[in-house]
Amino acid sequence: MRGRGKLIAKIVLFAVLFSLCGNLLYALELDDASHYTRVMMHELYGQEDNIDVLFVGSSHCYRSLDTAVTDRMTGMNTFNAGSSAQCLDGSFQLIREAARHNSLKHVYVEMYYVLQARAYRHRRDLTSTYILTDYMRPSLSKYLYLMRASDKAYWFNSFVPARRYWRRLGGVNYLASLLRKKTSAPYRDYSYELLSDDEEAYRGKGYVANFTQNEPGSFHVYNAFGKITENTISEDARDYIRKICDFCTRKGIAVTFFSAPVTDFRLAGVGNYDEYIASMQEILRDSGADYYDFNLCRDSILQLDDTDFKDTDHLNYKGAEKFSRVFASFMTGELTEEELFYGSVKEKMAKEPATVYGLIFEQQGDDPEIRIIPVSNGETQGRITYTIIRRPEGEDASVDQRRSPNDRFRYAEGETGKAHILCYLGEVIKCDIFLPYGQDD
Amino acid sequence: MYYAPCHFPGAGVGMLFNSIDFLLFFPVVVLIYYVIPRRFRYIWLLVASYWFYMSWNPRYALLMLFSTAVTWVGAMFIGRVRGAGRGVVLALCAIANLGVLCLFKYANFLLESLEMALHVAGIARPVPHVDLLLPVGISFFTFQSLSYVIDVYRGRIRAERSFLRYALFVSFFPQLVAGPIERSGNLLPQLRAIERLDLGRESDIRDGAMMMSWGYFQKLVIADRTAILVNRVFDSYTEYGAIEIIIALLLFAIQLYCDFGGYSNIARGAARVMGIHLMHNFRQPYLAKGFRDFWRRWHVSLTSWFTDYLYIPLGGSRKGVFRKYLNIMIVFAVSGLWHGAEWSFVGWGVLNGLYRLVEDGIEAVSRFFRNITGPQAQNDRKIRPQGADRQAEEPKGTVSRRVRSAAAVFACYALSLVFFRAETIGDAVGMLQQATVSVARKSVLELGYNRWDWSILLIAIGILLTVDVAHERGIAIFRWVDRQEAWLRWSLYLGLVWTTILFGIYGPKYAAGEFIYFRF
Repeated sequence: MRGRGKLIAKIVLFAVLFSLCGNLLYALELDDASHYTRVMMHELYGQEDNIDVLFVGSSHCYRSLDTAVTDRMTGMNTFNAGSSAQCLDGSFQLIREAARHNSLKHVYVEMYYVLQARAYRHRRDLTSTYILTDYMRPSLSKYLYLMRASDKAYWFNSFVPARRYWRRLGGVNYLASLLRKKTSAPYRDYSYELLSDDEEAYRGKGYVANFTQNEPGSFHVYNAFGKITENTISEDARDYIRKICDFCTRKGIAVTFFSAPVTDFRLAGVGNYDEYIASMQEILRDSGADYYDFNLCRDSILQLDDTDFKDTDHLNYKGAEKFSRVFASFMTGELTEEELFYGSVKEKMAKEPATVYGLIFEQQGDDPEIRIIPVSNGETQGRITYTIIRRPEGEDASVDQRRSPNDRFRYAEGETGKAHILCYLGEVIKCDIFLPYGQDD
Repeated sequence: MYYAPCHFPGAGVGMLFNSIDFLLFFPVVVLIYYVIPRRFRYIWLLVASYWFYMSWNPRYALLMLFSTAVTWVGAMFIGRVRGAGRGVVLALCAIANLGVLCLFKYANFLLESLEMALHVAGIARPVPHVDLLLPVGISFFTFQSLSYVIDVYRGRIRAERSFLRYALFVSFFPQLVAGPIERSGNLLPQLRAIERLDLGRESDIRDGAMMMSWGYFQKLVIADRTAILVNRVFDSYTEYGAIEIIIALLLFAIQLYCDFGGYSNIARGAARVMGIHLMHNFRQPYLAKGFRDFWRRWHVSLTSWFTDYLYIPLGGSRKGVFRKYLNIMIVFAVSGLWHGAEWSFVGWGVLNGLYRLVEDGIEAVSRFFRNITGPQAQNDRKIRPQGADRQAEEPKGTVSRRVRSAAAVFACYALSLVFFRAETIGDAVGMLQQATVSVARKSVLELGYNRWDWSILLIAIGILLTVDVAHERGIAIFRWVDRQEAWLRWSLYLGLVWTTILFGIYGPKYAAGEFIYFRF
């Protein structure tokens, strides 16, 4: 019996040493010297018994809601637990983590529509899961979350993190520079602020301010936006919406689902965004929770232009400040639903003067012809013309067309360069875009 | 980098030793094994073994149950009666078992061969094919159960009275799908003793875990890493020159050894953790002095099976030189066919048989010249005792001679593997022809590895060679590790495990590489 006890003790000791080695190796591999999720999670646990309102969601959440503004305007302690590409299973886990240590009063769950189509069990990239679990305290629910986050083929990577980036162990320079970063005072004190080449900064309590400013009239994408379909909200997403509602009801926490504003270019480009709103309202009908889509905000209350966005999807610091004020006013009841929202995207677009929000460039495979599709709201047919100036690499610019309704341009096989495209609505330039063409990407 | 594991017909998603399923299954089985009362342990192992086997395809279990039932009933009958009836029952058991094996593994091969023969004879008639999945490990459990009946027939062992215990002997999960092909004389007594012995000794668990770790290292770090280059070259050999093809062949020889040797070590280790000792399957084969020696070291359980149950019944070396070499060729050809129902496997077997013949020929010629010319030979003749084992009396070679002979055996064996690895004989011949077209077409960094991968592979092969040389010199590595101070011993344990975890090829980017011998 004594021998058996000794054996068990040795097995336990081996497991402990194995785990310590794993943690050490992972620390050597993982470059999180500028991860804001690391600081956010540290602050989340540091706020014990103090958070009143929790925001969870994707980058649309942490870039859109400035907690300094919401704190000031609501008089409550708000915390933004958004993280990159956070899906609802991650949001649910964060709500549970926060609820374990705080007396939450209200949870706001951000619902960027693109992320809701995912089937969690079939994830192939778990980075968005790992950036949360890496900084979560050990608990059974954390490990269950990791298990459910993917197919079992990924479990080894999930539960033995040192395996994830093992190739980095071969880079001596990488390890040396990482060691320097990780032994620096800002890293140890969680006090680093500027991130991503000065384009972003962590501003505390989960809010990340982005300083990129979009040029007016420059919105464009290659190939069309995906339409909203009946699969846009996956079974997994529906399941976690139910779980979040049940959990919050059980704990006496109010829960609200919302979408942060994206550009009108994206809204109009998707074409049938109203179907997403309808689906969300349908899903939540009997749950006791509400869904508010801030894309429906009236311009008179939330006036966002192109320069309030960092790209077609995300607000920058200017836009975030405007949005946070409106959001806080809505939280406090200062603004009512009727005052704030249009009934639909369609209604919103119809209320705006005819305009072109941006251009979609469509190209079939290697065919050297590009088709221009304008994304507009109103009666623009027959009023749109294009000026196209082609600048092949190493050659002089040539004007392909001036103020012509022709919406296609061709370049020679193998030619690379940039096309300067001006889109006119009547006499007014609406889009001014430099488009690289003929390149591999 | 992308690693496409070979997919073998019949192999489903089952519980590969290098899958998450097995890593969860095994500790649970072991834990329950040690917690439950001793008298239930073998039943628990039987349940676990069938569960393990059914993870590939539940229907396969019926086939194994059929083979088990037939041989158990047959052996009981043989054990109880005297006279000619015993031989008839043995023949019926053999027909039933081999019949099932033939149906599932060789039916299409035989039908295709018939179709080819008809075509050659000018009769172009399509022959129907059967649509059957090859059950995993069928060759292994068929041979194991067959050897049991033959051993009972020969009076070497008593028939096992307990059907459940015998069913465990056939299905014992560590060695079920790819061996070692256990002999009833070794495994059955241990299964009977499970109820009596005080199992769970620390040394068994430690040695078993070490053996498993070493097996995983062989499989994941070496075999599956070499597979990246080997698959690339074999899949499109026309894009490569002689150097790349030679590298691929040499690496495939290492892959095959580490894949199957790794599997065997995991199997032996898993059994050892439960206090059961399985037989050795590999004894440093690439350090063999010659081909006769090589086949005493490579897949020992199969070679000895063929020696005991085919070569000796055919007459062995007792019926003259011609019959001896004919028997050797038959055994090698059948061994090739056992590995796979393709003519390329038969080609591989025949080529290895020819190696044996050539080696014996060279030995005979050199012995003849030594006898008539060398004074040393005169002395040898005086010293040599009548009937002594020739192997034992051969003078120990110098290191350089040992290295030369081991290298020659390795190179010849690697060459024969072109038939083993290629899809068809045509591919094998085409690949050898391709090696004569150009010397080299790509740099070593265009074969699927960067410098980092090459470094890992070469260091890992160096470790493998060091361990094999140490074993060859009589240094049991596990024992040596056991004798070290605690800090060093534990560092080595952790080092082996972490090396395998970090540098192994597995997981989402690669998928779990199947063990090559699962197809047999």
